[in-house]
Parts: sequence; structure tokens; C-alpha cells
Amino acid sequence: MELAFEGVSVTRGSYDIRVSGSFCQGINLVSGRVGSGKSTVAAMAAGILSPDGGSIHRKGISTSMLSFQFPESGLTGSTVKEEVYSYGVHDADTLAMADLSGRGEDDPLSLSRGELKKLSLACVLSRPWDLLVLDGPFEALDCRGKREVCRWIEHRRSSIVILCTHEQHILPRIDALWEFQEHTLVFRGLVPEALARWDLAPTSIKTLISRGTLPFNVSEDDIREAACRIQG
Amino acid sequence: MQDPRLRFLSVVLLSIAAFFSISGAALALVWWLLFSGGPGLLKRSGWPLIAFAPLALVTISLWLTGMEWFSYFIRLGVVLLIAIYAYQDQQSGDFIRIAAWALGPVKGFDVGLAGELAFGSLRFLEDEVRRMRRAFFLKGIPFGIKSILTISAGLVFALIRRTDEQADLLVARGYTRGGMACARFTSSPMDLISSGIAISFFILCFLPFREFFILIQ
Repeated sequence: MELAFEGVSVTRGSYDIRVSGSFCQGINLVSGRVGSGKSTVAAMAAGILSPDGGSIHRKGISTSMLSFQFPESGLTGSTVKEEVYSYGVHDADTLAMADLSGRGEDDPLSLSRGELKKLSLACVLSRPWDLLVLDGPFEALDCRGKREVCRWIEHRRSSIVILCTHEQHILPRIDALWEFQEHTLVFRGLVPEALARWDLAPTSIKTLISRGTLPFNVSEDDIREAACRIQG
Repeated sequence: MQDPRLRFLSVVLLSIAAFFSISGAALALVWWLLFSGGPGLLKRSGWPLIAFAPLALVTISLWLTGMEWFSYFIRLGVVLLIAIYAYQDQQSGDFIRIAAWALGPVKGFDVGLAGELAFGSLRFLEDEVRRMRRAFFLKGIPFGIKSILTISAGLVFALIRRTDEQADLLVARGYTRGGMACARFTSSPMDLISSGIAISFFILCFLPFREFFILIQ
């Protein structure tokens, strides 16, 4: 399976967002500053936005899903239960995943932003997809919620997962690293080697590298383990 | 049009002209084709075309009952096209600027604010329908008339919720009555030409030409 962007560009006002390269199986982290173009890449990857230039090729991908940055954007059901069904997943398990057991009849818009975010992620991550695009999956979640979502994402490694986020601290173990330079998406390589080339790396990773220790990955456990290596 | 006052004037005059006679509707249609962007404007967003559904229903009823349906359809159809142009060309803040310019900072601000809120609600509904279409597409659920009926209740509730939030926001920002809108307008030469032609069409439409020719004879 492969999602290939060939000379893709989208015009946004006075600048162009440019993407070239192929997303392969595993967790692909797309990092970048706010407004760099992460959501645009997510929308193009999911097929809901056509590029102004270039082309996107899907090889061996038959099912795909996008988790929106704003969870309201994906709503189609008028109750929580209807919303869960709309993803074709089992309501009881998904509601339990989202800590919403017994609230199936509630209006989804009566949930807090964090609850709604977790519900939409639970729905999306309850089913296997060939291509799974997660746009800002950690936004509106507390630390506990972020760690839980990291575990869910790590179970989806057999798909192409495109994880677009500017989260710096709580991240799942990733396979490939992409980064926006201005508005151009650049492939930094496979982890861990790519971490040394990561311009917008979290301070913790930069500090570890400056002290001669390359973490094995970007998760909290990996950062902790690398820090322990320094201490000897 | 850059100047919302000239756009508003043109839209009002052409709507009256189109409503009153077939010839007025023909002139308004010519103006629409020449100055509004015509069919290209409809391509930008097709959903305002839904306004033609009730017009078609009434026209069919008139036809079935043997009443004058053709004139009604043409006149109201052109009025709708002009209204769609007014909606598509409207920019956020235009209502407040025109109302504050015409009615002063207090009354004008209130009237303009009401217009802005109403216009914002229409845009909100348009965005919501677009958002839902995208969500249905992603989930692989067909989006048709049945889906629109299913989501319409949700749209109404979403609109009520939005209104509630806007009211809270106005209170939080200390709004009680009136305000101050410093309206500035720029008119391009094309604005003056198009609105001038709209005024001419309006006058032409109401000139008693028949009597004029009888007098010459």
C-alpha cells in the first residue's frame, strides 16, 4: 500500500502548499507550525480536497478515513449511538472506549469538545482502514486522553497512518517523519535516524541529541529511556 | 461590485423592475448576465438554486389551474437570480456599513447587526450542509434528499444553539444598543457603470412608451 503525492500543490491566498513523496505502511508523523498546511495535506490524503497542481495516487488502498481536527466536522448522527453506527462499528464497545457508556441517546453536540473528540477518535480507530488520516488527534484532550489515543494509534501500524499534529510531548511510536518547511512538506526519513534532522523537534529530543543520545523513538517512554542512558 | 450601497440600490431597482413586467424581467436578466458574472456565479455554489423549488411548485400549480404561469415564472425567476447574486456577492460587514451610513450609528448599527446575524446564519447553514456532505462522503453514506430531511432537524437545532452563543457573545462584549460603524466605501468605475445601467433599466421599464408613440402618431 502506498499513497503517493507527485508534485502536488494547493494555493492558499498568497502562498502555495507543496507536497511530494510517498506515505507508506506504518505511522507517518507530519509535524509543522500552526498554519503550515497540515490540515490541507490531511484533506488531500483523505480525498476530500483536490490539488490545484500535481496528482495523488493511491496504490492498494481500498478503504480510508479521516479524523477531523474539529470533531463536529465529522458528525452525521443526531444521537451519540447514531454517530457510532454511522462509522459501522459496534456501539457498546466504542462507547466504552470513549468513556461514554450509557450516553448513547445524548445529542453529540451536548458533549464537551474533549468528549466529542474522543468519541470521534474511538469510532475511527475501532475499524481497520487501509489509510487512516488523523488531523490534530490530540487537540482538546487531556494528558490521560492523549496517552490513551497514542495506544490506539499504535495498534493501527498495519495501515498507512498519517498523523498530522503539532503536539510536542505526548506522541505514539512512529515509523516515518515528515516536516513542513514553511509551506513545503519534506520527508525527513525513517525513525530514529530522522530525529537528528527534525528542525521542529521537541526540546526534550533536541536536548538529548545535543548530549549525544539519539532516542529510539518519540514516545514518552523512549524519551525517558534515552534520558536514562545519559545518566548512565 | 465593490461598493455595497450601489449593489444594494441596483438589486432593489432590478428586483422591482423584474417583478412588475416581463420586459422589466428581460432587462434585469440582461443586467444579471452582463454584470453579475451570470452562470459562473451559480457554479461557485449551487445550493441557493434550491430557492427555485417553491417557484417551480407554484408555477406548476398555476399551469394546472389554467392561470398565467409563464409570466409569473419568468418574473419571479429573474427576481431569484438577482437575489442569488446579492447573496453571493455580499461580504461580511456590508449590512452594518450600509445601515450605519443610511440610518446613523445607533439605529443603523442595530438594523445592520440584525442583517449581519441573519446573513451569517445563512452562511452557517451553507457551511453545515457542505460539512455534512463531506462527512457523509467519508463514511460512505449516500447523500440525497432523504439525508437532507434527516439532517434538517439537526440544522435547526444547530442554528438555535449558534444564535444562543451569539447572544451570549454580544452580552459578554457589553452590547446593549447601538454602536459605531465607521463606514468607508470605494466605488470602481465599473460599479458606477453597472449601477447606472440598473437605474436606466428601472426607468425604462416604467416609462409609458406606448403613450409616447401614440402622441407622435
